[in-house]
Amino acid sequence: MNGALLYLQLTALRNAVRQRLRRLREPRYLIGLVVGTAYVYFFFFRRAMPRGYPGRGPAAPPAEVGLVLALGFVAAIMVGRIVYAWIFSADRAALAFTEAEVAFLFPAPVARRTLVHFKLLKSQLRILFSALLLALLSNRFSLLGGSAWAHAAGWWILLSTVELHGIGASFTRQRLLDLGFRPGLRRVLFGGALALALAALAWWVRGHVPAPATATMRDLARWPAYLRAVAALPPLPWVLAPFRWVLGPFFAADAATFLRALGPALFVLGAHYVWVLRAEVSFEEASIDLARRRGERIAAVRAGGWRGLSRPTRRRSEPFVLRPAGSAPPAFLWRNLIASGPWFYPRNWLLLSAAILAGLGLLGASPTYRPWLTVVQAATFPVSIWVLFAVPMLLRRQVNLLFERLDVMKTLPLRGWQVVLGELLSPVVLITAIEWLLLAVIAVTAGTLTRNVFNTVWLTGLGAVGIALLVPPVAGLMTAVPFAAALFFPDWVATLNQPRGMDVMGQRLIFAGGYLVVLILALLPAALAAAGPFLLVRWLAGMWSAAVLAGAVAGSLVLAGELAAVVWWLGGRWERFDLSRELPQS
Amino acid sequence: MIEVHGLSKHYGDFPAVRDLSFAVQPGEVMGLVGPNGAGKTTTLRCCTGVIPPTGGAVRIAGVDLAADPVGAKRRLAFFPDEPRLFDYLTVWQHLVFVARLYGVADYAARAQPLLAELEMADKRDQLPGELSRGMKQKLAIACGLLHAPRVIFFDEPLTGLDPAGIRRMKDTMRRLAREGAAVILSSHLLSMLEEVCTHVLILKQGEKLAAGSLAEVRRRFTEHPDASLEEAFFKATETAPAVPPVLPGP
Repeated sequence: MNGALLYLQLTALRNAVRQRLRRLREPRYLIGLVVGTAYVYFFFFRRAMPRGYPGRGPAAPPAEVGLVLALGFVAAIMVGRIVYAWIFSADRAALAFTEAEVAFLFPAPVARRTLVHFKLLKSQLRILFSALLLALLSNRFSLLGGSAWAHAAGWWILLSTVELHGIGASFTRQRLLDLGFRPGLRRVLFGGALALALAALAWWVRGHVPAPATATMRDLARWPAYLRAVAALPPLPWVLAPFRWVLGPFFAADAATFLRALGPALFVLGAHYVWVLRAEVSFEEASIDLARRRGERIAAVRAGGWRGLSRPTRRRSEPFVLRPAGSAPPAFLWRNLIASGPWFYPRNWLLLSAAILAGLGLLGASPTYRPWLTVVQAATFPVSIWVLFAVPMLLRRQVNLLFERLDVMKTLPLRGWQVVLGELLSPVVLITAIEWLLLAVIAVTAGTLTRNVFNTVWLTGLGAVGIALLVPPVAGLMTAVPFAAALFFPDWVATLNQPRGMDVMGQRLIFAGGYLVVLILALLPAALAAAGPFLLVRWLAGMWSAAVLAGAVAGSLVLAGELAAVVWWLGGRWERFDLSRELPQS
Repeated sequence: MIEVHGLSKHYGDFPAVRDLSFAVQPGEVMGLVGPNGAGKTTTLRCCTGVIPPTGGAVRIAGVDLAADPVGAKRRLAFFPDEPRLFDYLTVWQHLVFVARLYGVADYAARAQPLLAELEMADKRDQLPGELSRGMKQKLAIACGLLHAPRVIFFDEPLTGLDPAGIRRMKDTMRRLAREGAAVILSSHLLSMLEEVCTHVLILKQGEKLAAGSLAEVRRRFTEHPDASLEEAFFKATETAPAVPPVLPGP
């Protein structure tokens, strides 16, 4: 490779490391690094390494269901990437360079092949880092057997092959475009061929390997054997051979199997490399365009504008008619719902909810599929907890967007509490809509599974209504925490926007920890207030669901009061908030 | 009108603006000029309620900004150098949103001619991403003028505009003043200020060096009555004008 390009790569890497080390002089980065390192060590390394070192005894045999899940996940990544590359992607052949690289390298006397090599070498840094992280992650959740090193090598081969395939596919698309194949025609041809192949496969499999009947949860255990039988049915073994070769090292249980699997995997990787290198298509023009778009995206993300990732191209309808007279907070809700997209508009959400609940009803009516409702019900709990925690964390980005426009927002004729309430409304509405749907799912699945639909839905529904009452104020308090953090610790929150680094990850963890502590403190009075009515009704009526409802009513009243106080308090802070540290002075 | 009395703003120990007083009457366009770090943007932000001043008072159309910030803000419009628009709202939806915030009941009747005047009538269903830089600036102006403000602030209004956009912006500022608005305009482009402004305020290191009509300021700092504002500015701030560029030899 051209010495100058190697110099560029190594110098950029060295300077980036130096810059990271230099910023550790600031306590918040140093503390963040300590917390981030401790987290990675305790969460990944301490558990992963003893099993990962070769020669420390045989690895545990992989759990059957875990293996199927892992295979499915990895296969989905590959298939998704390939399908996207050949059917959906409309991009021209482009290699991802930065704007500076385009400015310096493209006019320079550098051969095209050297540029491709430079790009591949550069992507290797990212791939090696990703492979290491993914190996730690895949080893952490003991679903798979094998060693950590085999997983790391497996991830590297997989990611490198997928990367090369993406580049090769883009080059081929460009070649097809040059030959007159428009993207629409390509989509129809390739998509049609894929759909036909899948339909033929489904028909073929159905005729040769009958699907197992699933009457009870226990029957779900038959599915791995079924899927293995399908994979062994000719011609699937031949069709899937390249995929199997690439995945071979990843799933190797011991060193000998790993070495045997390495050859075919490297062959596929090498074939992709030759394909990319030999494709003589012009990628320069599209690469310049891509570099510009990436530059804009990075600038938008650095500024906290996560919407910079995807700019809307079509006008969106309105969730409701916004009249010119009335209080201001609904205007913020109206604007933010438009930004969130039509899924969350009241009518659409009701239709979607009805469709999901009807679908569950149909599933429950079939003896074959009813056991799957248990899976749905079991998955609903963690999803509801995740939504409650994750969506408010996403508000951090919305607050950043607000800061971006702070000079204009502060000139609006509004009290601080109106702005705060307006900005909190949309996440509260979104969380409430999702949580209420999930509660309805739990109630309906419980009713269907016990086969005493009316009674169980009524009983579960009573408790669900109680919990539903708690959702809006809890969601409001949870979304208020990141808002408060941004208003009281703007420097700290601005740091969280930086995309990479163990120190930044540590700061995010500290933020999440503080978030939980504040939340627990906020929920404590409500829990105390709920305890009395809950115990009283439980004692008098003897019904759990009625007791939950009574407790929830008391708890939600306390929470609503807390929320009102918090909005008022944050409003005052907003009015006194001094932009001096956020905006450049002149 | 805008009345500023003894305005000061400190960032810690650093005084960004010191004891600044001035007034802009309806129909006047005042240019706010000064070298980098003079305190122009800080002054604009204090006057628009974006940041709280450390001391002093600002009255917008007779309303004290500190005592009644909502009332004062109803009477002003602020146009930053970069139009800040919402990616997912169309041109018309921006106006609907602003109308609700300012309580403009007859917004439809006001918005139609406003868009027509700004040559945006055919763009009402377009998103900001589909608009040129000049069109975005026009949309920001339409939003700012919807509630008929009495006091208008512009911060570097010509940034990124093409020649046609520059001319249109200058016409807009002059028209707003003719219609009775008090306009404050912060810019480094002295020739543009000379064309548009009736008055000028020169700041340096947070302090007022000069304020008055263009003719008064010229007279005070230069010997020739027909001297340019640029000449007066450099005399006032005692900064050497830019040296001619050094070109590489043949």
